[in-house]
Amino acid sequence: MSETVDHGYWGYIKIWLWLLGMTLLALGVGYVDMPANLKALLLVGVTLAKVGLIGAFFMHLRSEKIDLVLITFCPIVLSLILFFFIRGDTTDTAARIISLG
Amino acid sequence: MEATVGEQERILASPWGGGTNPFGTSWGKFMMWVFIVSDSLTFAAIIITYGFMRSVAPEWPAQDEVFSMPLITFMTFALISSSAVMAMAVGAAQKGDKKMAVRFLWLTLLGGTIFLGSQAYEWSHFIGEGATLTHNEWGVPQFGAIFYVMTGFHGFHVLTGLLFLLFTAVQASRGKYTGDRVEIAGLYWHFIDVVWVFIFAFFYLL
Repeated sequence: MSETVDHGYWGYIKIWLWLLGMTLLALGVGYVDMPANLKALLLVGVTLAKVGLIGAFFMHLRSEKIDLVLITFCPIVLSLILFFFIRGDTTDTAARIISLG
Repeated sequence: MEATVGEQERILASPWGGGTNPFGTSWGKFMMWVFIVSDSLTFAAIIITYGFMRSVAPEWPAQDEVFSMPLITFMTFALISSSAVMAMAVGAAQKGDKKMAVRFLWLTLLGGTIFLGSQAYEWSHFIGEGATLTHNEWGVPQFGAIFYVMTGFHGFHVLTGLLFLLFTAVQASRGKYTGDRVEIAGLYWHFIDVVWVFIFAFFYLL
């Protein structure tokens, strides 16, 4: 058995392979002709799955206390709140900026 | 009124009394998590701004006509691979295997350097086609601005991450080495990878 396997690196290699597979899946979704909303939904799903794997295994969140894990969700929750709160105004502003060219 | 010794001990023993560690991590690691959470919001603001721009733009350039998608995919491969190797460096450091930890750190640096070099090439190509913050040949001025801000801010993080890793690798090579320091550097590097996962999906593929 190699030194790599002795140190338990195989687990990281498996996650790496999963990430590469999901990258190829995202690439496929990007190139397949489908409704924009469905494409966005699929890409969000694949992206969150990749982020979950990186967070849980590479950043070791699965072995951290739940208090720390919950803190890492703050940006997602805050971003969603801000997104939906300012959506109306910001869409108008963005439309004006786009129209100005 | 001063607390008695018994009351002080009871307070210190409570989860938030200061006498214990509620998050179960070192202060350095916890501060890196706080930084990551705050920096995530900055990137979220940039990506959401892009989303708003994209949703109201009557047209948007086809990415595969502007960028070399094989190059972008290769960059993604390099960064994900460097992230995996960084995780191995942390694993080796936690087991006290200094030799392997240093080797993996140098491999992580190699992956990050390849990514940054590829991004510099991509930028030079984009600039060579006359794209600026306010003008580009594809007819949507905000396309260039969003590209430069999003990838530039991320690239700056990659550059600082490489310097951080270089410092950590050199220190580890000299024997000034702690597993905790390698893990802190690793958290920052994985965060860079996470941000790129979002940029790759939403800017280059959507």
